[in-house]
Amino acid sequence: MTALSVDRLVVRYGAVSALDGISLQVGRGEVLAVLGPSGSGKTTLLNAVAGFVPISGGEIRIDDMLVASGRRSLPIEQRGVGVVFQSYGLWPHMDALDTVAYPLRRQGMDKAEARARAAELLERVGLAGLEHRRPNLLSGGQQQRVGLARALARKPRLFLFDEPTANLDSGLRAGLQSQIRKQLERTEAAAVYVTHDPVEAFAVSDRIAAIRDAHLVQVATAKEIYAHPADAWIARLTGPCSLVDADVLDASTVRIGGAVVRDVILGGAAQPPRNDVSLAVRPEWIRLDAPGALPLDATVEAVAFAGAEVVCTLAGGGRSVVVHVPGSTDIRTGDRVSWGLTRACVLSPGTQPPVDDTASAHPVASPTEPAVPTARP
Amino acid sequence: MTLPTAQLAEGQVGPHPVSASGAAPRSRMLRVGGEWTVVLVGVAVLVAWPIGRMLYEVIAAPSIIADLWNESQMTAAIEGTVVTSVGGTVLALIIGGGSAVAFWRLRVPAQAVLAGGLLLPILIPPFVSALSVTQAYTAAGLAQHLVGLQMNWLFGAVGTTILLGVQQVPIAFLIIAAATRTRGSGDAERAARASGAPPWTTLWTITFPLLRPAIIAATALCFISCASDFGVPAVLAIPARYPTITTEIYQAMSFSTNGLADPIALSALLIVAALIVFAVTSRFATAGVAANRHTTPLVIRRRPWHTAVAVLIGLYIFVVSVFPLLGLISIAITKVYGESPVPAHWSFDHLATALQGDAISGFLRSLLLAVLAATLLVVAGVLAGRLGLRRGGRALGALIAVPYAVPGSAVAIAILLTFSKFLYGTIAIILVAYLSRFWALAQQPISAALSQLSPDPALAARASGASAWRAWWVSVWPAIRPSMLAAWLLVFLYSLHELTVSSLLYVPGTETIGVVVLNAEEGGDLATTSAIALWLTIVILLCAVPLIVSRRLRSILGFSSGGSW
Repeated sequence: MTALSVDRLVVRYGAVSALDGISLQVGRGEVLAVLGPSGSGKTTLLNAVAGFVPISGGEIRIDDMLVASGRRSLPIEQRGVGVVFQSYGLWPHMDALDTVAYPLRRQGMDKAEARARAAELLERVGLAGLEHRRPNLLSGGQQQRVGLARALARKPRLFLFDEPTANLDSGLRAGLQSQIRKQLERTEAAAVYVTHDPVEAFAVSDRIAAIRDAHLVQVATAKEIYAHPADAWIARLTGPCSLVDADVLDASTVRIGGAVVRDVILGGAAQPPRNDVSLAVRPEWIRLDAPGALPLDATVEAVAFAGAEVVCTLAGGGRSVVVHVPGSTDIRTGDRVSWGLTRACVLSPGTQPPVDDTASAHPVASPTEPAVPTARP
Repeated sequence: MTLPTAQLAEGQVGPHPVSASGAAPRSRMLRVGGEWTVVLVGVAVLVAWPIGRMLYEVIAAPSIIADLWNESQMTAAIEGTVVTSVGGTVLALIIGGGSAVAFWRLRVPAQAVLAGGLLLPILIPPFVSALSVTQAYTAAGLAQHLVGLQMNWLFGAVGTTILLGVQQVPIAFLIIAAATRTRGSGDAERAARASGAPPWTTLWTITFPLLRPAIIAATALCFISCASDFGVPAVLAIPARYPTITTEIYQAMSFSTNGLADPIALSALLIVAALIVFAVTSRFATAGVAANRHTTPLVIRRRPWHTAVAVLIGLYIFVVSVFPLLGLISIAITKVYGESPVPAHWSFDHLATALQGDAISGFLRSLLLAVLAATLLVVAGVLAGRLGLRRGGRALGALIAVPYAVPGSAVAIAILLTFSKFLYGTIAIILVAYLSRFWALAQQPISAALSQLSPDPALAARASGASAWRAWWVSVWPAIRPSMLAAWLLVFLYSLHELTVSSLLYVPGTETIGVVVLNAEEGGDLATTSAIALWLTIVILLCAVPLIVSRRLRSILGFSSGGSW
């Protein structure tokens, strides 16, 4: 039994397809993170499941019940979903208690009982004592907790989170994420969690669906997608990573610019031997040593202290890679070093990134994509 | 017409800016001395002294208010104002608010054109609107010539009520349309639906409460505007001998031998009524916060009956704005008043006559007053705006708003009490009254622009070696220039429109164009009256071209409506 089943879903805004043939399943109790840059269609997916936008084709089932197809659409309130919004979606004229009691009242619960239950929920999310505050007297983090409590009050079969932490300071994010994770585990309901932050996706989800240009490009567990991104774009989307051109000689040996590197754990599309492939290399998969000790030579081009680690950019042989070194190191810009690989992921050909991107260590790629237009012209 | 007060009353003097807390102290670094003196003197002379003087008259002789209730004419006037204002307000809310909600929730075709049509009464002075309606629909009007329709009942309570309502439709429309944009749509309703509420429950429990502050603010403003209007009852109520407060003040000033007691008492009554209405409603009107900006708009499917709504609104615009204008034109270009307006009877004599004598000097006087008032008030607005919202600045801002929030008749009487010794019988007293009354109009867009400004560019200029003035010139001036232009245009247009204040302050030889039209109408020469009014309308429309064309200026003044505008 699946909590959510999306089959060949198409959503069009005028001539533009915001989602083009998406299929995915979310099992009972599973949290699926939908990861993608802005404009990729991830929020549209959520809106389609919730019933906020009409779909143009395909089918959506919640708990094996058909809620939307090209022809029919179940009203939002009958889909039994709990939605947490990016900008909270709180009602300025209602205090926290009445906000959380609202879904209970709609289920026919009487006022006193709904309020008592709402007070419990507010306490559960750590808002005891703030029951009678309106949104304008709550901080962003508190507002989102009210939003979470409201969704919990609905006791939904499926939770939908639309970038719930995007408007919060980084310090508050982790707290809210663990709060959400904790509450989800307690309810045992399924959830779809939309985000553009890979770290957040890893933290909250059981599986991750990467979405680009209205298409799903990879669905896998967090560990799997981090270790074996299907292509360079997903590699960038899911965390810092360097791309290195190489030849794969056998199951654990690669040749990089004439130097042979042995004992590499190779993942991905490797069917050795293969020449001219692109390797995705996470910063912690690279070993550093004194010059000559490892197969590849390089010069330290930049050093950035980041607390627990030092982020070094190495340049040599026309390549540039990013490596994380423990924070205790005294490495300096200009030092000569040698490096080797412990792991690498062989990327599928066909989605090669632009040439000048090879040194990039940005955690999130931001490919240029057409923005999804608003529905009302 | 009280549009920018719409924003003042709703507490929208710029979304209270991020810079309000942290940046304000820093912006003090950018100040040049002397503004306080200039602004304080300005506020004292233009606001505090006249209003204080007026209140003193009432406090010194409170019996003048009690005496009102002994005069049947006065109680009838109070009753007339209450009846027509309540009716006008209800009408304006139904038509203006209804259109705003329809534009938001339905896919009404041709929204931009219809919105422009609904806002037309902003441009046409109320007395010209009323005059046009009489030319179109009453005896010997265009409707009679075309289809034999003659609605002489427009003179009197019903016609006054309808026209007052029509004049306030833009206020109701703009305030409620603005609220549908900032609060109504998007996540608030989606959250309710996702919480299990069906559409109608959502409407009653979420949507309507979200719009309630705007509806209350619109009600208050429409009511005060109706009660303060003089142009409409001057044309429609006076001939039917239906008394209202503003016409009673005018007639007492013109014909009474009883001194100023009644006008002062009636004005005081209007001021108190306005202040009470604003005090009561502002408690409700500012509840809650402006909602989210990041929400995606609602997706609405077009249905056939949405076109019917558009046709209905279009029909309304035709009946109240377009056809009356045609009526005005037909009278102005028909050679002999009363003849049917067929081409054989056309002549430009009236239009030519209208450009001679009184009318042209009235025009020139009004233009001079409008240019002077607009220019001086933009300067005053920038100076006062630079004082900011903190400390005394906020109190000054509230004082500046008073003469615009209270009825024009009351301002005129206050200015007369205060300045007649020095300025009576000169055009200067009208200028002083305009400066007092319209300061808030200029202040609102300028203050809003200044409060949204980050002080950083100016501080960067100072850090790069610029003097305070130079830093202001290079970083602030370009940013607020559009708002200054908008403020200038607004004061200019409203001064050109103006009738209430000048009708109480003119003497023979200082008539404004509004007074010229009023006097010609009272004199009974309807053809010439129409011709002058037509010229006035043309001039106003020409002057309003920048507003009509520039989306930016409209949005500064809050004249935009709905997403498609």
